[in-house]
Amino acid sequence: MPIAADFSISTTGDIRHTSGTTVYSVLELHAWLQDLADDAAASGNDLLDILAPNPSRLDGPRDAAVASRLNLLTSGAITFNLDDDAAQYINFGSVKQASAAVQYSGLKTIGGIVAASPVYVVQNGAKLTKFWPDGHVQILVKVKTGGAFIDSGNVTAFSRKWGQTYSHFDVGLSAGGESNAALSTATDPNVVLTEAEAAALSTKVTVTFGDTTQDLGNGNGAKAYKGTIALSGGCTLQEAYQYLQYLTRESSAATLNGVPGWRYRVLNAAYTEIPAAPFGSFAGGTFFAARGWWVTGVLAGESTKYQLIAHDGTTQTPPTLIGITLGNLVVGDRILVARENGSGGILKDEYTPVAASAGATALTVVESIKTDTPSAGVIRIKGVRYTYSSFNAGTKTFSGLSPALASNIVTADDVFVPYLDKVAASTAESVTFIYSANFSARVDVRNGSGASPIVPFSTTLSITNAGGSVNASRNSDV
Amino acid sequence: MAYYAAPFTFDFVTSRIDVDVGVADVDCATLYAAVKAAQASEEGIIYDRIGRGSGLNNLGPGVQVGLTVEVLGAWQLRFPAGDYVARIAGGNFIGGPGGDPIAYTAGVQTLLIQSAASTVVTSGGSVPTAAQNAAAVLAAAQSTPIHADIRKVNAVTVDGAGTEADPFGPV
Repeated sequence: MPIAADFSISTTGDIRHTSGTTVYSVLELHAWLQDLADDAAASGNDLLDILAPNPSRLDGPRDAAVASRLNLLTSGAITFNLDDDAAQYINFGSVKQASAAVQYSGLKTIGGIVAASPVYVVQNGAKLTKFWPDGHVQILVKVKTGGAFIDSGNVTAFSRKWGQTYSHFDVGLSAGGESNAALSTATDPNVVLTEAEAAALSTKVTVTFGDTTQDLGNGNGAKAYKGTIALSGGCTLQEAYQYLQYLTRESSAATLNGVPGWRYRVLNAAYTEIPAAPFGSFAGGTFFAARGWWVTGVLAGESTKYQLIAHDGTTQTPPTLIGITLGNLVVGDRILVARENGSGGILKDEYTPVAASAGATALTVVESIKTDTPSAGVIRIKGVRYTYSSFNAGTKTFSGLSPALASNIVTADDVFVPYLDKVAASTAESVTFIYSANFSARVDVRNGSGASPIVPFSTTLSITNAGGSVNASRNSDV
Repeated sequence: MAYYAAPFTFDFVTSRIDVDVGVADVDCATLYAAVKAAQASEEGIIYDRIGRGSGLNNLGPGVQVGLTVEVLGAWQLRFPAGDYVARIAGGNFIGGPGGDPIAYTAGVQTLLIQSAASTVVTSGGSVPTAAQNAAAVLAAAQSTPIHADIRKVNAVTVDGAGTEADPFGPV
């Protein structure tokens, strides 16, 4: 249909859509207006002819291959203008009118999306009423009215369909013409629940906004986070992921930190967004939480199946906890498990101490404290057994020494941290710590007094990501 | 790092077992008991073994093969300096650097009493006296008389077959 059949023009310059569904380009609108303006006499409902003022002017090249910038002119009492309804049938360019007090700008989405992915446009915090079909859009958006830009002319195109990855793109439309918004969506294989099933997870997943300082126990110490995702009731990480996607889908009714879920994007404006999944993505069975989120209540079986990014931007991976177990003991055995020195002995010079004075209750070492150091335990300093209550990897300091240092410590003194160094209190003793890398441990079990002395038992033990265990051989000594 | 078990002080750094001043006689069993305690101590667990013992196999009631104590690595027994004779007895004492388990000490003559077939006899209830043995035999004979092959009575040779036709004699 020709544009003339779908639009009308009043004597005061009102250009209105009257029928049809065809969408015309800005240039076609301009061409039609100029065609009418040179007519000898108006006819039908298009009351524009050569006696009327010039209705339009292009503020740029006349090129059908590029978006046009049309200026609908005002002359005296005649103000050529589109209304919002008429603007829905015009695209590929921009239209200024009322002496530039009103502006419609072109918005076009591009990119790889699932066919017919629904797109919605958010302007100044509100969804625009859809007048476009699903799939990529090419529309005019009213960005200026009353001489003022609406939210500086900025809009955001979203596509957040349940079962698909999400996407959004900010675009500024104040300059006129047509601007592109790149969207990317894909079928999300990790969303396997229906929306109703996901909604039911509200009893198992709690999202709380607010600062929290937490230590993941991975040796990096306490970190600041800006929000907490708490799982409960046997909720899996994949279920939690789906619920979080549910909260941020297009039809979400949730309010997240004061923001409607359908336009919730990120926990902190300074963070990099994850458009596909605002709370974090899920891939390969692992939940990669968006920056700033602390996740708690993870099932034991999934204890290493998530990854966080603390407020400071550091990636925090849950530790793999392993253990060393020494069995076939009797109460009273003296046991020692320590890192092996490569030739079957104990690595006694594991650390180089910074000089310290007798009486001190902390000791700093030169080397970085190994990640697989027990969080608390025994430290041998110059051969003497002390316990420590904690260590700080950043300052390379063991704290809470007990007893206090018995003598001055110099850098030449040996320092090492055994995994087990105690008198057995039961038939098996064990220690738990963070796995870092495979290593070899030296194991000693001795009992030289009492009713059943044994020939000292020594062996080496390979420690892997599954830990290690060994039973002592008990051969009676003479 | 040292560990003390009277009368020995174990110096794990120098690998020396220092005998207390005034102690000139060392018993191998006492020494080895101290060795076992020392190497299983809080101080000793981070060091290699001090020594090992062998022997004491049971040969019968109260009798065992003698004890042999071998000090390992650089470990040696050291008596305090002085002008006296030190004795190590009660078993064999071997090992040490170059096969010398005794560290040199000025003025001390060490007498190491070794034996190729030493035994340990345990005193006490398990070894009966002669009177106890005799009493036990008599007591047993009361309840279970001992069979006898009578050849003489009061120094007179017994003859005869013990039958009615040929009775024991002389008659």
